[in-house]
Amino acid sequence: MQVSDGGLVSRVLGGDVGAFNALARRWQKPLYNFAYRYTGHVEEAEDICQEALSRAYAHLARLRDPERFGSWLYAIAYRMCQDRGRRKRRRVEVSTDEMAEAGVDPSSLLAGAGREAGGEDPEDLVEANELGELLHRALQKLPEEQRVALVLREYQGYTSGEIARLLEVPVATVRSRIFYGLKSMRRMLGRNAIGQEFLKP
Amino acid sequence: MSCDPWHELMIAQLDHEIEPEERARLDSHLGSCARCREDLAELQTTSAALRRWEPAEPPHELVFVRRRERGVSGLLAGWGRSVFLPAGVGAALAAAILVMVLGRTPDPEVRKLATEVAALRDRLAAAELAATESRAKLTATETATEPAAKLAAAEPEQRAAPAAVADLAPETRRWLLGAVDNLVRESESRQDAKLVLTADQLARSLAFQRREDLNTVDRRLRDVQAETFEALVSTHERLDRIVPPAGSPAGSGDRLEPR
Repeated sequence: MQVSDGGLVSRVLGGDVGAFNALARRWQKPLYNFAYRYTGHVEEAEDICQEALSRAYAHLARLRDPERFGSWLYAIAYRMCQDRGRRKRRRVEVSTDEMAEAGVDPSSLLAGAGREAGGEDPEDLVEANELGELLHRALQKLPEEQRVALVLREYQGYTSGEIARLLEVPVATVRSRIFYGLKSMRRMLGRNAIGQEFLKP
Repeated sequence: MSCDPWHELMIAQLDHEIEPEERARLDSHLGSCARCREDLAELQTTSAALRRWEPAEPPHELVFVRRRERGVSGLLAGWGRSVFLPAGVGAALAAAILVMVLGRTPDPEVRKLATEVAALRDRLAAAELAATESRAKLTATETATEPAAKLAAAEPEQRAAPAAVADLAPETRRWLLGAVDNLVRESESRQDAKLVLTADQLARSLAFQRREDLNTVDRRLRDVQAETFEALVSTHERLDRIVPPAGSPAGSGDRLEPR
């Protein structure tokens, strides 16, 4: 007999701190996969997984609907991913300023940066020789808001309506992001022989 | 004309979240727009291709570690309130955690102590989890026992125990089934009033038994906690003597910041 998320949450809030281990055990794999597919990095995903669970524990009393523990956890992890992205971008800005001061032309380095910023570089898609690798690379080229919607829908099993609620974004916006995200994914997968194989109806 | 509004409806339909009248509008549009028909088919094949990517196993299982109530010197204190750590950490990983904390390669003694710390944490986490599960089971029997007693009182011939009885601890179950048997035997010779009284006694005894079981679970957990805690403190004290805690991370909030 499995205790529901809500049941475990109320036990933790009632002082049975050990019950949080059962919640963590239940959610760490989906949470890790969400973070991995969103960030594209194993270590970063593991970090986010750890930190999101720690934060969830610290703020558990703020969770309004305990049965929605999973959605809440994804929302926490997503906000952390966004914060990290912002911090990274700030670092890049600072360092280009420093370079300019030091007499280096920052634009000479932008060729490499464009790749990370979501430019569709066909070369590395063509090189991928298995589906996971191809999807991993292609997902990283999507704009963040399309990527999070696609990851939640295709891998975490949420519908567009549920994603809108989770991300607190209008449902029409989420559906449009999913539509254009899937369109871009199709275009990118089509550049690779394996991808083409999987796109056959 | 732009087909944008139809795109949203397509996703709503694929997610089974479309209203009937929207569905009718979309169907009639698809009947006349080849472009949108193609889009819809492509959305489906693309989504199916994406879903072929299997989920990955996380590199480590995470275990929740609470900071103890009493002040602990050195490493644990630097970790703030609570952290998640990989479970089953072997010597190498335990040493790696220390490297993160101390910023340099630990000597063999430190490595040994780190392994001890990791093993103690594992043991504590396992005991806490086991206690939670036992408590859940025992609490579940609360709802199970009353109907069991009533059933025995109402229909003495009905020997089949309710499904929830299967979830009881073995000793409790044996005891309960034995008691039900006795009741059934008694019911053959005695009157209903007496039987209801006995059923009531049975329920009371069971409640008592359950409380005892819960106490045992708590007592066992407290023993393990006390034991592992003492060991953790002394291991950390030994560690502090070898490596002064001054180098440990300060004010890193809720968790250890490895980099």
